Amino acid sequence: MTLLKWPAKNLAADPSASQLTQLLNSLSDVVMMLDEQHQIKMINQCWQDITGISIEQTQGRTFTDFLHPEDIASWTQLMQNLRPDSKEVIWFRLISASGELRWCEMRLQSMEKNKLYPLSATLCDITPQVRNEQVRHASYRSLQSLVDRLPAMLYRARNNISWSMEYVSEGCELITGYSAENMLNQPQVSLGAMIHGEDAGYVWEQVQIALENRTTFSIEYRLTQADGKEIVVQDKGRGLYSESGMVLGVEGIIFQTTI
Amino acid sequence: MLNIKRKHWPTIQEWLGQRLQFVTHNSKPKPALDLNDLAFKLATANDINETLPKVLTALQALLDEQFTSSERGDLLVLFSNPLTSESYVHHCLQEAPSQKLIQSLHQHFTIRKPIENRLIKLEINGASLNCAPIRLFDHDNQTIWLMMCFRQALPNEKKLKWEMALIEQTLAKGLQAWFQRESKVKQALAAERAIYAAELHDSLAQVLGYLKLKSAKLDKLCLKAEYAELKPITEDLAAYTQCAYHQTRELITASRLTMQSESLSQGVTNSVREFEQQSAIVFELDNRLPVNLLPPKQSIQILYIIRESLSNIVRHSHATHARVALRLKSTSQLHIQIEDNGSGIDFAAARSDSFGLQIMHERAERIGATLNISPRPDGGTLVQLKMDIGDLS
Repeated sequence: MTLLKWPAKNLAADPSASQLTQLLNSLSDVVMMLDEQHQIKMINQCWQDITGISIEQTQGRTFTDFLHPEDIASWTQLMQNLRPDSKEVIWFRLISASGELRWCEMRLQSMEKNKLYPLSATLCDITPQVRNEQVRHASYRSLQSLVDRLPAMLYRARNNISWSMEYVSEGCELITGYSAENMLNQPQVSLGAMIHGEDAGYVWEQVQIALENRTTFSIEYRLTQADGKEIVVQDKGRGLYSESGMVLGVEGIIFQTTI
Repeated sequence: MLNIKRKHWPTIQEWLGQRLQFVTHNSKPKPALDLNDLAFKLATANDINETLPKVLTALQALLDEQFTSSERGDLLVLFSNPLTSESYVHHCLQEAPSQKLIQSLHQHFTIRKPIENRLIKLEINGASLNCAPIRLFDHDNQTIWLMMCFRQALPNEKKLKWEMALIEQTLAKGLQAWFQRESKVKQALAAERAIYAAELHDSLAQVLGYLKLKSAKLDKLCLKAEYAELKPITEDLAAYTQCAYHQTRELITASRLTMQSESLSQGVTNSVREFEQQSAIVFELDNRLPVNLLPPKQSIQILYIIRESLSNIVRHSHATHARVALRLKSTSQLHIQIEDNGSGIDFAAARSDSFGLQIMHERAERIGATLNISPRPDGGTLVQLKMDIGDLS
């Protein structure tokens, strides 16, 4: 194995201060230096591009002056736990010159070994990513709350005699008396065990026929709830298949038909 | 045997006069400052912002007597809350401490982790200042600091410690009692409000719920031609009952949210989360207000207006994005803006049961705020609430 070394001849002569400034100002991330008072001592041009606040107006000011008030607490907490050898990442909102908010990711660390201050930091504008994530989250949240509020139990189960569950909606508690969490994590709690003994065989058969024919099933059977109460439910579902036709599981919805 | 020789025996008057002079000379102490009395004043203060500076003035005078003029320092009390990033400086100076000093103290004690019993050197406007902090106690998320700020030479450390001990004890005793009393009053108020809200929920809301169903049914029955004359009345009846029911429910929710969080900010955050769950709209909350800005009376009304706007967005707007912004435009102007990119309000086609907007206006008026509901330039609706909250600076 060869130890890869940066060849000495590739190293340019020490760059001049103006070259370094040019390099820093050409970056599309903010680079800054903070002192013990968390005042901005050095900052590159990108700051002005992101926030619209000039470098002159920024230098010497405390960094929290630019933070959204709700994000100052997490910044303070981070600063209080900072150690000379730690490298931290934090997300926050900056208030731009126009008053608009910019979501940013900051990576910061000590500049010198064994000495906490000064700190060096890079700042990246992640506003578009955060906005996209918010849209994605809103759509997921909307679907999730719709599913969980339905007065029925949506499920995805394995095709076995216990009908062990991979997913159940919150309606599980209404139908079975067990919480969705219990149904998923406790092996002794299974839909198979709750189906009335006289109906279990019929349920298994009907589902297997539907899976075989690749059709949907709609069956009615008796279910014993957690408190021992017996109810009649309607179960409508279908199989889940791989491209090769292998049965991967069963998906469906169970709702109560009588009390 | 006593051998008393004296050249001149004083007369009884002279002797009495001398004794009296002696007694009055010895018992002429400066009027003793009753520290317990000061602690009591703090403990029972109605407005700590008014009482604490007065107490500090008395304590400052007591301290000044013990030091030479070059050794004297200024007494300050700092309420520091790192969680909300808020610092309140209480002082007894003729002129308020400079912004730079307040900012430095905020940096040292609230933003950063302060080291106890360590002298802090501050550079304020070119002059150096030595600050000796003493941690009095912690209450909830707040830390209460007592500090002496010296512009010139520092007095002897032992002497300073000795002289500060009584001051520290008095302030800690008084302020701790005040905080405890405040907590108890808050708890009692919350319990009282909870009882009223529960009462409102169990009695009025139940009856209104029943009336709402019945009046709607009656209105439907009057669709028949033979009852045409009654229709406008039943329509009104159904609409107003529906409105009263809706208002009562919202009031109960708003007061519950204000009771739970004790702050408008938390109430708004909870409300946005609640409405988020009911839709696929992307809600953005931009809250730049200090935590305890408004008293509960105003907070409830504002929260009601915000909740009404949010519920309109979810129910009618067909929006994909909504934004709630709470800001202080100056030190005395509160601006709240709720906007969405939906289909906008068609004021001409407002339904007969949509009293919501009217009630929002009434509630704004009640707290001296102005409410403006208008179409948003880029489509959708813009609700703006502006309120003068007195100078906060």
